[in-house]
Amino acid sequence: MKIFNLIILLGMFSFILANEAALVKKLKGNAHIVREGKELAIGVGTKVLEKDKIITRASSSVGLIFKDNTRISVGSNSEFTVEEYMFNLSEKKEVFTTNLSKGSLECVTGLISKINPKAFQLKAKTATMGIRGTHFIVDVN
Amino acid sequence: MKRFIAVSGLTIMLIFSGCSSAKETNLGVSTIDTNGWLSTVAIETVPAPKVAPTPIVVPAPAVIKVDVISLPQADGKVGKVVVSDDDKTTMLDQAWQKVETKHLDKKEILSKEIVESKYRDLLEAMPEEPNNYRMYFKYDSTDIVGDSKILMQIVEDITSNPTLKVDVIGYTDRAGDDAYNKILSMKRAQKVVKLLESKGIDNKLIALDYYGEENPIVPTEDGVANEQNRRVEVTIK
Repeated sequence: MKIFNLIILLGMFSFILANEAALVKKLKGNAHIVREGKELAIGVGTKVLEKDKIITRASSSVGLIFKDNTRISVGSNSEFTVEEYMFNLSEKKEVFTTNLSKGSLECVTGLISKINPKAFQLKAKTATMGIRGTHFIVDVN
Repeated sequence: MKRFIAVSGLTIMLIFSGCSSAKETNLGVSTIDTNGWLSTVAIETVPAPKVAPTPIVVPAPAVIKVDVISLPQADGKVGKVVVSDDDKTTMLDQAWQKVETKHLDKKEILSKEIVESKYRDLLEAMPEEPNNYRMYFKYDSTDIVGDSKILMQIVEDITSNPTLKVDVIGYTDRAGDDAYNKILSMKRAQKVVKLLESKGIDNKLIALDYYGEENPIVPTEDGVANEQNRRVEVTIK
């Protein structure tokens, strides 16, 4: 019975805890994260979780480094969402789905793209458009 | 609570899909009428309009312009960038090459200077590639091969830079079975974490992980020992 309760408890934890995806390594100007409908201030060292949306204002930018060493810089007046992120090599679970709905970004892909290229998906503006690669810029006008 | 939100979210989606099917019906798509379950949902959740409304004018979608530009890697090589839009796909394989969506057949090569001046903010915000160190291990062991020079280099790097995080990831070669190797890779990573702590590195900075036989430096058949794959990688972010 105790074990059964524990399993339920663990299940709830895994349900509540969002995957940590990235760290804010660089920051310029004015940017914030929208997490579960709330606005959070960004600083260098801030953790970015799965489902977070990063919003930058004019003359602002954010540099991110992901758990799998993918690096992304988000330019000014941009909206960038980490839709899904999972990196666990021993469980062979890799998912990297992001969406640039506004603005620009530069991306240098890391281990997920190297080990499982199909797991990497960057959408730009519309769900029908996808980009894969090693080093590129995307600009949504 | 979360579950409740999820359920109500689903209901909203159903209502929404009901609405859109009604709209499509108004626009004269007759197949929706014969779509049994969709119209059932619509009737249950949204009262059917009593008077047939006038056809809804759907505004033309705003023209979306997306540029994709491929850049060379740090080593000067150019990796492929694949861009797909609807069912069309194109590939960029040259440095500073640009393609615009909606015109996937139109590619052009820009100059390095143009890209660097237009996207200066992006290039400046891009974090440096994190320094990565490899420590190698004796066969089936947590004994490190070689001297402690690399450990001192790692400690120096962590302390002399504004380090946010230190990933310590253990790996093995493919001699021995999977489950055993997973534990061996964990022990190797733990060994390195202890060494870093003994040199005064704050445990809160360190993230330990272990992936056993995965992600080898030298891919081999199963059962093969390889000294380059028996390692711990320390990545300083």
